[in-house]
Amino acid sequence: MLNGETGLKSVDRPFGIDTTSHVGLIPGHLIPQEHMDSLKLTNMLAACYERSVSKLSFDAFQDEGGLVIICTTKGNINKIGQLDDPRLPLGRLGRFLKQSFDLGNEPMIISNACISGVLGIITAARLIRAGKYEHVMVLGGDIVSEFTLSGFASLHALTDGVCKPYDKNRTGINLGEAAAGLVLSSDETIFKGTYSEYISGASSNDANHISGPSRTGEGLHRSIERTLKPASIEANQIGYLSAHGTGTSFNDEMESIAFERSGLSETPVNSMKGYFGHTLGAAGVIETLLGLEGMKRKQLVPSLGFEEMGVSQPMNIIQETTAPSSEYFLKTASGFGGCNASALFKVG
Amino acid sequence: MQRFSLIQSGMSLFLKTYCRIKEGEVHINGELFCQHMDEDPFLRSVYKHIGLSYPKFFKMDELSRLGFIGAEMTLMRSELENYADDEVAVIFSNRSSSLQTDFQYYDTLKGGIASPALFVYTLPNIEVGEICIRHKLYGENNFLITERFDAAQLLEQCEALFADNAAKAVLIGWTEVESDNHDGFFAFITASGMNEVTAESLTDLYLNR
Repeated sequence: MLNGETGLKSVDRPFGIDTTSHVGLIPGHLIPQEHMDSLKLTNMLAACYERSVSKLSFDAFQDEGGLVIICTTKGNINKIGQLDDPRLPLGRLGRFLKQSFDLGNEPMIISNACISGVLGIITAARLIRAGKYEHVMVLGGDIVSEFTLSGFASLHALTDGVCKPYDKNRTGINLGEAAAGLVLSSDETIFKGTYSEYISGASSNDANHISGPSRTGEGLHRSIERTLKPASIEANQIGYLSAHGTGTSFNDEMESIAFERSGLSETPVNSMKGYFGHTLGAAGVIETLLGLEGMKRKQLVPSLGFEEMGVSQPMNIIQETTAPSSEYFLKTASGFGGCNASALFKVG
Repeated sequence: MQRFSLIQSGMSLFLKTYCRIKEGEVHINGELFCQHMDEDPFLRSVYKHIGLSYPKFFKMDELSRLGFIGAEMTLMRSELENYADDEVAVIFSNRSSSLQTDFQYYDTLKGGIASPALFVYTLPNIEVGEICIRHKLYGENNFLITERFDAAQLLEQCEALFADNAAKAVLIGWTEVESDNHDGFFAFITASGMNEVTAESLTDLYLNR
């Protein structure tokens, strides 16, 4: 990302689907197979669980005080063609991780469209603050499948090449696959390395349309207001905004309106979708992690694909690697079903 | 193993209204509201019985229709006017996500023309979106996947939302659709009220209608 390169690649008729869109695929040999159930997503999530635990000073998830939340839109949907495959239902992901890692609690599974990851983080923090758990690991994951790729193709939502969020010439999205994990805890001694502070977060529905974003950005605007207000943080204190930025005309325009209404027009903002595509249930987790990393390094990466302003409201889109203007970082996401979510962090 | 964590911690939760939809019957607060009597499919028959005029109902998939009817029954009896439009959260759950519609969409794909109208219903939280549109609810949303109706997990969510001042009431739901079998449970949970509810008592209501 620091080199300004995309990981999206042209695949000739992926899954036989007639599209020239680039996709972000993870080569199978890169995914650890120790917890072999021959399913890509399960192995990706298991690998993220292990890597996340390895960064902690103790494994908190084998007793009752620790919870794992899995955020996914479609789970092992690539098994849909095989009738009655027991690995297809989402609940099986939780059972598999519980058995593989001897978890103290049944994992919670959140399936709330493209805000699943951000919603997982908010839910984790609320459960900790309510005294339900001491530590929560949020795992987000989704794969690129014939099912989802054909669906977005049927909606004419895929771009011909690589997506260009907020750009005048944007034509749609790329799908990518990813899994990522992060840990929230009320006990800072669990972290071996540096950590950041989760401050607040909220979700809000547009109450407008199930597959089109609100023209007024209502839900996104409200989720931002309900995130900042309890924290007594003003919009002009935010040093960096990691937006959803899918590269469809409707989503990007909705975001520009919601950000303007929320006082975020001058906040440095990017979309990461041009680097690895829209990773659905993983997006909120992986983009939060990369946003936090950018904050720590004081290197916010350009919004790849953006050249010429293509939304109606002003936005301060990052075009060269830049330092954040404060220690406050806001992550937002929006999804089908009219859902929106945002989460606020303090870094450093 | 169910965890009844609410018993150990402090916050009391209250039940305003609940609705059970199962085996061709709709029960509200434990009393029979209507039965499947006519030739129409079950939920369409309930829709007619209520006398609703909401054409979008017919565009919905079966999961959304179940959630829509259950929400209608529950929210109409929950004094929604006492809450601001973003004070009521909608937290739903089920076992099979949108799998029944996933199969229907997949059939259109394999038949040669993938249906975008079906694809948009291949996410479980779409039914929550339909409910928010119908009742103009701008509050918190979540959709959880659990093996069976998990009162403890849903009430834990209510408690976490109330503790964070993120909601004043929560419409919780369980909606499972398998071919023509509907299994729906809906409850309006508040932070203050008369009828205190626990994971055990809510589970009893689910099991006994």
